[in-house]
Amino acid sequence: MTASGAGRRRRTVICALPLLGFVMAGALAPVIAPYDPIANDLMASLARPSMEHLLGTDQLGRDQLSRLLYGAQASLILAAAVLAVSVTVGVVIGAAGGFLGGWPDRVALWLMDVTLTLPSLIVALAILGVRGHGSANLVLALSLTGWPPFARLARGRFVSLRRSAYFDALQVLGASRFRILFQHALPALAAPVLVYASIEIGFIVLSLAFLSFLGLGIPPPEPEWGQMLIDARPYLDSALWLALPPGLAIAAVVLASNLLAEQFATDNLPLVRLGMPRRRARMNGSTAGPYRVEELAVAFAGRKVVDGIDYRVAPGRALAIVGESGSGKTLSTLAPLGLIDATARVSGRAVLGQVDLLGGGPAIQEAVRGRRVGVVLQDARGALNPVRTVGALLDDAVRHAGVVPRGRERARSLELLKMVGLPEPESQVSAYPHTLSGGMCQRVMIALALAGEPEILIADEPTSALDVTTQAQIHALLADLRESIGMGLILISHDIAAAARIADDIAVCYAGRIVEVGPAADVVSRPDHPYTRGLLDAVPSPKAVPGTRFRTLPPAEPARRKVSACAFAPRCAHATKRCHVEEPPLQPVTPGHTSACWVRPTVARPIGYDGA
Amino acid sequence: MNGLLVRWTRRSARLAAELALVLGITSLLAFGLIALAPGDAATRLAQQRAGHPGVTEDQVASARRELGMEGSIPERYVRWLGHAVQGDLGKSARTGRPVLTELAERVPVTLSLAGLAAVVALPLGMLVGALAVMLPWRPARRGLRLTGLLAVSLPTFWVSYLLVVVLTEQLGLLPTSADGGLAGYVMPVVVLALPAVGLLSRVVAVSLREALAQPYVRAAQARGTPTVSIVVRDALPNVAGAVLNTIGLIVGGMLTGALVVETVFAHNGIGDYFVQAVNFRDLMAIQACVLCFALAFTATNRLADRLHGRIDPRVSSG
Ligand code: SF4
Repeated sequence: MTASGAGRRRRTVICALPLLGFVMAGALAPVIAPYDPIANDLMASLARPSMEHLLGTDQLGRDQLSRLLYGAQASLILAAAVLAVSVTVGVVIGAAGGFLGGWPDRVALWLMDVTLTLPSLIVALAILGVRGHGSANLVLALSLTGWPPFARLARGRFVSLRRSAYFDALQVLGASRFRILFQHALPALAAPVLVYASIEIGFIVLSLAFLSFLGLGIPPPEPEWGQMLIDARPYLDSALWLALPPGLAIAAVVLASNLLAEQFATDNLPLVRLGMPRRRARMNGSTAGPYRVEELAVAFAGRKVVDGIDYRVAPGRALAIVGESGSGKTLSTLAPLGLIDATARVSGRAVLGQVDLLGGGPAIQEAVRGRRVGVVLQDARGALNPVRTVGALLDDAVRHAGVVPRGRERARSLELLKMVGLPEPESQVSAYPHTLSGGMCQRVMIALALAGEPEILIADEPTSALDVTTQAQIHALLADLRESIGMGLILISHDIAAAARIADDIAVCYAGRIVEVGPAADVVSRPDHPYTRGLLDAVPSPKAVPGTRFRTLPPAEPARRKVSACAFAPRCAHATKRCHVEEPPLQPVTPGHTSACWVRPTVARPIGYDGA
Repeated sequence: MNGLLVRWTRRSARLAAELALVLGITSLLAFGLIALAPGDAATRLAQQRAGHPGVTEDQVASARRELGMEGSIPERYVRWLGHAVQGDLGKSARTGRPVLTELAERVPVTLSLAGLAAVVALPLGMLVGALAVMLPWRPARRGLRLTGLLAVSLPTFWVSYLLVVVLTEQLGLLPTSADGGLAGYVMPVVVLALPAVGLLSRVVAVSLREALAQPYVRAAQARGTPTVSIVVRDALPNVAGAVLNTIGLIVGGMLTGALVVETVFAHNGIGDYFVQAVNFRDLMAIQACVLCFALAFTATNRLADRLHGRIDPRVSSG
């Protein structure tokens, strides 16, 4: 995470460099420019770049480097003026709307919306045409459409300030409203305003060049980049040194602004890779027999996050994999199916029937998904495409699974909806997901996962977004389906008590390893590993103080795990010296029930936890 | 039956109200523009008409009347609106001809330029944007991203110059003006399409990435849905929505591009007319152009909104 954050920061800095160069060049032009930018020297007309004139001279013998630097200054002054007006107007409008609320806010919002849709340069031209040329009108013309981003920023800040308890507290203390504004809202605006301003600079530079081209910019002979390009036009095929530097300068500044803008627009988007279209692998279905995952390891950027995981599910049986978030429970079930980030390295075996899902590349995984293995994901509402009806989604899933002849999909869809207990399936097929409740969405998700009549159903925290009653209903539905269809069920959960009610076996996952596994009843009634005991204590019980869900487990720390040690040692109340230097293997507790702990507190003595 | 009638009436009433609102705002904008003119506008018009600076009081008064600068502002607005509704948008100070006639001659030129450019830019922009996300090779994705951004970062007139120098002056391949028949359209259309391709490709790339990051795409993958089907059914509606949302920007960009292209390549379109009007400070012509742009603009925006509602049920049921 931090690595990509640093990368993003580095990229932002690189994007900002041309802008910084532009500002420096503009500000320092009078100091560093070697010549007077408007001094003609007809003796040196159209001189090639040389030591004397680093970028050559134009037809009037004017030093191009100096003109370039002073051109930056001209753009910079205009940009500063436009930004000063835009920021002031924007902040005033946005702050007034955000702070006052009610109709002033609605008016402010409306103004922003309307202004944002206007084509800025056309507006600017109309203003210049009506009011005449000149720098004041130039600033007015460009500011007229430049203020909304700043208004939006200011409005956001002030709305949140107005709604904060902090503001009420300050007012109660007798601080004047204006003091509060100036001291608390405006300083917080500085950074985002700066970012938007640097994005605007590109637009202003490009606009100025455009206006110069139409004869409405800064009048010659004052140097300006756009004007320099126009002056270079007649010599384009003979004196390319005239046209390239100003063109590249404009391109660099504008590109930098655009890159910066996009950087902020796409922050935090994960990169998802889809497989390129390919022929599906054929799999002949020699069914029956358990689904076995062996020595599964998943690594990101060389760091193993799942290591040496083994589990198996027989047809008609249910396995629950439990653990806190980040324990690797989701990765260890979705990795064999190729459903995790494309940058992960996955190794091990995942055998279904006679096929190793990890031995045949993505084609095998794709062939299995939706047919032999069904998956139900956490957030059902998010997992349903909002622009498609329930029926369309199901028909597709049925079609891809290829279990019924073409044309019969709808009948099968209705059957599936009945199976998952959706009331009135006939009318619900034409419903859009946003009209369904969370529980109903999850039922639809389950129906989708069942479309291919899978041998294994993987349910990743299927109830985490639902209320308690609905949770129980969905769990009951899953348990029912498993029995009636006879498929294997893998339930991923952080709630060990709920898992125990459905599953035959429980595997407890910690830091990418299974630390305890066995029959559900055994694991819950006679937990051996201190982490399992912690999880059981963390289950909300009627005795627990409300709001203290995890009563006894000290918080997880992001500490780097040592290669050879018990990963749980930093949080374990029983840790001994050995725990810190040697990793415990899974050892039998009772037949079929194993646990990875050196101390075996169950055997040794009763447990008392400290820690809050 | 009855319900259908009620719904239909209600819908057309809403449409009419909307149209009235749009027209009202547009006309206010165009009218207000003249109010922004400095006080000597009437004198200037009189001078423009007379062709020399020395003008009489009478001439200034009649110019003031022509500009509609008599009476209170609401009065002026009503009078102006009355004329506008009858198709009278005044006479150009530059040519002395009715502005509406001149516009009517020029609109088709710009429409054909922009239409051709749109036909080129739409599929190309979508393709480049999609490739910038889907190509399996990272340097290629980055390259396409940079190219897309660069296309919107270059001054269009400079690109036009470079094209003319290379294609016309050095290689002698293409004519530079409208006289060259269809060949005369190639360069202006390319220059118009270039920033549109850049903008579209970025919008498509960003929204496609956003769409592919949606949980329902992973869910579809988990069901074994083929990639083609995921892109077409799950991601495309999202992308189409984003493209429709930026229609305004694209149309605005085309208009701005038309100003440059028509000037460089000597096409007598409305862009060229607008530039001349602005440079001559021909108030009536400027006003008419703005009115025309604003109508085209709002019309496309409303159409885009409508389409968006069709694609995404959340937009219409709100
Ligand atoms: S091995 Fe040691 S540190 Fe690890 S769980 Fe057992 S007692 Fe705790």
